[in-house]
Amino acid sequence: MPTELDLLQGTLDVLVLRALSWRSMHGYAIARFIHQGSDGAFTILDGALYTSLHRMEEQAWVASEWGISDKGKRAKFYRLTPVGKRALRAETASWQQYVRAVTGVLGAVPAAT
Amino acid sequence: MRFVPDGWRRLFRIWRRSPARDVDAELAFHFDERIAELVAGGMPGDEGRRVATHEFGDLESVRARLMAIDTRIAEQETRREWWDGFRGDVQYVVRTLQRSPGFVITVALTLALGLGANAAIFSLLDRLFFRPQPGIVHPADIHRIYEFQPPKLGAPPPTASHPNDVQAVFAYPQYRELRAALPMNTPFAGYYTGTGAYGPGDQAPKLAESYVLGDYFALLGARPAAGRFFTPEEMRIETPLALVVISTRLWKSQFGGSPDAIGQTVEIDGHRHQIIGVVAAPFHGPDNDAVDIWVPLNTLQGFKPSASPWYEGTHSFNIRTLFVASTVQQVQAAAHAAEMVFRHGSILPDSLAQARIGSVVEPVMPGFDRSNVNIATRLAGVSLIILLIACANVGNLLLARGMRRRKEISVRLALGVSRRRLIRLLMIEGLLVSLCGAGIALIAALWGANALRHLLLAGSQWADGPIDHRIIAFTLVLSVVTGLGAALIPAIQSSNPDLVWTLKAGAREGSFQRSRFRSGLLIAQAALSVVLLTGAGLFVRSLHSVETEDIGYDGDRLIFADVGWNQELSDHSQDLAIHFPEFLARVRAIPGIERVAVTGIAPMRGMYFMDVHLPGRDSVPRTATSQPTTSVVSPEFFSTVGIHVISGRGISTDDGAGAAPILVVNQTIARMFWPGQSPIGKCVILGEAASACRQVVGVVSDAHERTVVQESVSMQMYIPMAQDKNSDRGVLMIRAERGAFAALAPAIRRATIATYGQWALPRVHAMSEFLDAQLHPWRLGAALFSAAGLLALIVSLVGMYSTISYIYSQRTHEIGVRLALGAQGNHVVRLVIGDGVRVVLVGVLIGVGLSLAGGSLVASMLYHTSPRDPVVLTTVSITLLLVAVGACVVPAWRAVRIDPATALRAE
Repeated sequence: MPTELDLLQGTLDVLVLRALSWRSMHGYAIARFIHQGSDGAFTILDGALYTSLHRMEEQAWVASEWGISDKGKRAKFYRLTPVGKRALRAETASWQQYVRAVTGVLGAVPAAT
Repeated sequence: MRFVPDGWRRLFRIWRRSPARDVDAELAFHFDERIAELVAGGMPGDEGRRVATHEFGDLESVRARLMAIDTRIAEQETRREWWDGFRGDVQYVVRTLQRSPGFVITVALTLALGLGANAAIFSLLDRLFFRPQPGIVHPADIHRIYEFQPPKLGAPPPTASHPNDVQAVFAYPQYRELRAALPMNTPFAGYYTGTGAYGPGDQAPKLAESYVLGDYFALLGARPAAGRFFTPEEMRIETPLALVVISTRLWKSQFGGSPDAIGQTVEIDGHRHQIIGVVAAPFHGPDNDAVDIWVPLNTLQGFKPSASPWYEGTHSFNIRTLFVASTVQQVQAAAHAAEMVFRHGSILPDSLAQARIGSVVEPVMPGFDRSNVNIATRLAGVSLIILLIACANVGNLLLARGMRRRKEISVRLALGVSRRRLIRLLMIEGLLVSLCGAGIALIAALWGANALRHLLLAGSQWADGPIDHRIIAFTLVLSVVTGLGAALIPAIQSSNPDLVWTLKAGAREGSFQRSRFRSGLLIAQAALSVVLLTGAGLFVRSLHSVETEDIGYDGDRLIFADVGWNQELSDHSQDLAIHFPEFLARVRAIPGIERVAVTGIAPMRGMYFMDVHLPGRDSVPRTATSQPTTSVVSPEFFSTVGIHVISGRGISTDDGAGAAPILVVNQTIARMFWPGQSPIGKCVILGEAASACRQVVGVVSDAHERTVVQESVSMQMYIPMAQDKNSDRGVLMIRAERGAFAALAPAIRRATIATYGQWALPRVHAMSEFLDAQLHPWRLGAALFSAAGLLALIVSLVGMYSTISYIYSQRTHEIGVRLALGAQGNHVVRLVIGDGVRVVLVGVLIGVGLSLAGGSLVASMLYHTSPRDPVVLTTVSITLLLVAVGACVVPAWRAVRIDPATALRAE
């Protein structure tokens, strides 16, 4: 996996929350969503993904329930809670601010002294 | 499952998650999907499994982590569910209780009574015993000298609550010797607390005032909030300076906390003092009495205008000592080195003593006011008993309520509500009602604790209010314990009906079941009430004994009159003697006054000792606690105060300075000095051994010397005032009609001013004032214990009434049948009353037994009254049985009025 990028701590959480903002999903579907969304630019260890999910469940950002997958199997579905929605908004905003700041610095030219 | 509302899921516990199963199932699903996808993409199954595992990372550690997280989530959920359930239960109980406000009010008030009494008492005891005085650094480290009193013959051995020690007090010479025997750098202090009039005039408020010596402030860790404390130079006993340190309270109230207060002068006891400092709050000295004024002991010099240094007197004042724990050995050594003679026993050396010495919460001076503290501790027991009675009552009410709701409860049980849940509901009910009671109790306690402070320790200055967070916490904890305790057994009993039987039979019959537990509660109530009422009865009897005690004087007819003077203005001791005959004449002329006599010291206000020698004998007979006192009196003294001449004669006007020296003795002296002989004509030498012989001319009746309740015999001798060269004046003893004091006092005051002028301060008091002060603890004990007994009786009456009337409301059917079969009304009445009285009788018998067994606890507080007084026990037993009959009357009346037809048709 040569093009793998290191994910910053907490970034995975935002991606997972974003995935769940569309609809409730089981863990495997979230993994697929992130993989496809990033166009394979970074691979996430699936174990890390599940750890993130459970941790966020403990924080009550997401809630889980057992249901039936589209292939008819029993699967654990996650959905966003109102607290999770707020967290997603806040994290997204701060991430975008970060990106803008980095982009700004990268595009800047030193002023004449 | 997503559509199931949260609240319902609780009911279906089958689907409760198991963290291990969940995590494994979730991960299995993940791997199945991933491998299936890879295989669908053309990968062989084994290769697919390898890739999926690689993509996942460290499976085992992730699995462990997930399980840890899920376990925590499950715990959270359990807790939340419990709280949700609890909240739901509370809401449910509140709704139910709202439907029966009468029940809530009865129970809450009953409990409030018990809780309030306990809170009020706890507030007092907490301040007296459990908390060191505020503002003292390391209070456990501060020690005082106690002395050990050898136990009296036949007295019970000392215990922690009745130790044989008292705080030792010293005269200045003793303090000085002790201090001198200590190493220079040992911190040591002494203080003496009295009251001082703060401000000018005789209407000035009296404030607690401490005269201090040594390292008082430094040792206790007090800091100045403004100014400074006394320097060693300022405290030198020989060089009096009028300096004062005041409390923050006084500083705030008199000077608004302004720094300008330092350097100002204030008048204390008629002397001008300069304020040099303010003690930082909350320090108010090591005793419960909040001190507002501190002065060096040397300020006392104005008290004793005499030739020898005033501070050398050995009876002037009681200095108490302070030192720190680490110097106990040195202080003990110093006490030995100084050959310190303690009045009784020795300084306390052992560990029990350490605990006693170590405490600075000792609330009272030795031999003074102890009785009030005794009353306070006994009241604690009494208030606990009231709480128990209230508890029994509430238990009964809850039980009756449970019985009434039996049908509802059976239905719930049949519907599958767990018994545990039902018990929880019933316990919450008890708890809520108890908390209501606690709220009312705190209000009652605020009032009650203030009242107790004023009644029990009237002279004390309290630095803080009676209710603080400790009292609130105490009351809440007590109410929770009480509520749960009272509700537990009723909850268990009422949640256990015989299901089928209850549902089949009507609610009425289902509810009727004689409960042994209920009878037990009634018996306990009756027994405890007997104990409290017996206590009340004993105190009332004891008060009667004290009040009718013959003190030897006509106390209610005597008035004391004396003259003080304002030392600021001048020293009038010469004038006092010169104008004394005129003063006497003026008072004698006041209409309404029967007789006037003169004595050196007013009876029971002080004693005067002279050396006594009997010619031909080595020593004078005396007892361990008594020695002969001498009173210098005018001829009218005996007839004025009500002392009778038994044999020989009294003092006459002929017994002048030139006549033969004579002496009158009381019966005790006559018996002890000359047993079996006539004392008339015997010789006694008073004062110097070489003095002239005084011939005994008469024997008079005994009179008390110190107290109404006298523990030792009085050995009294009287000499004519005219034959004592030091007596040129004295206290006037005025005999008048009973109750004439209020009318005569102004005239006596006017006579004083008319004789001496405006500088004279008339001191006019009825002897009954002093006697009443001594009777106060006895009256108080009788009043408080009577009040407690009455409370107990009321609570018991309510308990008996509600229980018995409940039982008979449930027996309507049975009584209806009896009446239909021809039973007479009076038979039914006998049945109802007989039932109630039988139960109460058992309680009364147990209560009498308890009273007989526990009598010794109050024996020390009774006077000439046996703690097993048969009159009291009988009266109390009959009272309680009558109350029981009273409680049954209304239920019996209702039972007789049952219409058999209606009762039977109600089937």
